[in-house]
Amino acid sequence: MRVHSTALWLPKDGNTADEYEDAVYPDRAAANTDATEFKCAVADGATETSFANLWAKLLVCGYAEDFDLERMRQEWNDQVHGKELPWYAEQKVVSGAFAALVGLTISDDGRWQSQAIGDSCLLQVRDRNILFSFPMILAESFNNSPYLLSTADTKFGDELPEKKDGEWKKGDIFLLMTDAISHWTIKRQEDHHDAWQWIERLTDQEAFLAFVELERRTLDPEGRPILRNDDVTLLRVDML
Amino acid sequence: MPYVAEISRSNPSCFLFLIDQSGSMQDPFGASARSSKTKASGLADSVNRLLQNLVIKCAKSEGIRDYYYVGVIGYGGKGIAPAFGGPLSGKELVPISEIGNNPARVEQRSKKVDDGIGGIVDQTVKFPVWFDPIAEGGTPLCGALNKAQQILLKWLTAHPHCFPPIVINVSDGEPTDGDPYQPANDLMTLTSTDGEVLLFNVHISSSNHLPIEFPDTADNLPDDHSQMLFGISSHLPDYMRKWVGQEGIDVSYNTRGFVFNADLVSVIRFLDIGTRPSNLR
Repeated sequence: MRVHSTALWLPKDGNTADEYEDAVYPDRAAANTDATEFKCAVADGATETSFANLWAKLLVCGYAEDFDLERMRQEWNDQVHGKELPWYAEQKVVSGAFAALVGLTISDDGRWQSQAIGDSCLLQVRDRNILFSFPMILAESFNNSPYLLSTADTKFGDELPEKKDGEWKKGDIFLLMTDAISHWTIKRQEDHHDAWQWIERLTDQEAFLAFVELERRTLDPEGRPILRNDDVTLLRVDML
Repeated sequence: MPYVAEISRSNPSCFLFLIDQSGSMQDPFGASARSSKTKASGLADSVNRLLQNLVIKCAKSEGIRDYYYVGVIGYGGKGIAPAFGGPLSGKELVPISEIGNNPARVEQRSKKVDDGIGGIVDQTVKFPVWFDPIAEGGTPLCGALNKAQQILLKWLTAHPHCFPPIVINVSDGEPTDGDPYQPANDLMTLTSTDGEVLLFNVHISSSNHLPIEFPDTADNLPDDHSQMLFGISSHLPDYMRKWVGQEGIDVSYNTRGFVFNADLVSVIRFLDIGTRPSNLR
């Protein structure tokens, strides 16, 4: 099985690259992989929580290993609690970090499996058609307070990811996206049925930057940017 | 559509607190009438908690992001003036990072928390203090509202596209310098391109009446003072009304930014500076 992956990302407008809180695995801009199994993931650390970028990175790397949540939580706690913090950072850390995650495992038997929590999405494209989006289906379902994966224990409920599986064929393309570009894509598809024509052009960082800047400047009828100003991450996986 | 402007470091918004430091604030506070807690100390706790929550909201791993500029104007027997002490003394509006890094002191307080196995335990938490209780002289609320108008006119000239400033007045509602309706109205009709200034009121009272949050009518309020403060409170914008509704409070188009013997910390929670997980408490 041969896979080509392309990772594209940008921080929120007004933020520096250091302040980017999404994470993607694999994170190389472009890579070919030959394997019997290919794992990839994107995660989106929640703005209102601290050390969310660390949590997002642990999640995508952890997904590609054994997805042992307890170990990842322990690692986040070990890294954060060793620091000397001012009062506000100390109190913020108590609430934990939160992130959305979507992971994809592709096997050479023609099957794939995905797990997701929150509003980062997986889409499958075949013959230039978007087959589905998962776990978000409708643009109107996105909001600013999704249920996310936390570094704290599960006292607020079971954080069991939603699961989906299916089959792939050579030539299929998988897209893993964080919420802003997921929402843009689903909305574009709902309104104009041509989202793939836009996304397929995003093959390198330059094209991605031009797209993101244009869509952040374009306003919807209510005066909001049609691509919400947020960290934005796209992982494209081509089945060769 | 109003109240959609992004709040960011390049387009910050503004919080202005007006705090009643008049002599009547020496009276007992609410349900604690039999205890020694005064309205002035209830007010100090309320404002300290609001500032604490605002700082935490803007805190990230690397420090505090200046999404807000904040001012605190005290009004009472000593006149109408910025109420910050210490390094912030005399300043009208300061970035939220300066506030977070300059409390007058950080106290250790005890807080009851869930122990995770069905019980409650005491936990020591740090409680930053910027203000101590003051209670002296009259209640120049009209003067304070006029002062707020001056400060925000300047702010809005410099930040014409900001998310509209929020003014939180914490008072026992017994003004001694006239009818506050006109100055309140003048304040609430100041606008950025994103909407009108919001004036919310926290009524600190000696009444034992149960706390009231975000009412939509003055009919059930306990006295003239609370009815007056309700009357000079802004209607909640659509998105805030939605949040309040999700908190289990009945809302209508007449719901206003007013609370009686309660705090307004929920308003801080409603501020939109990015993704806030639904399972974050």
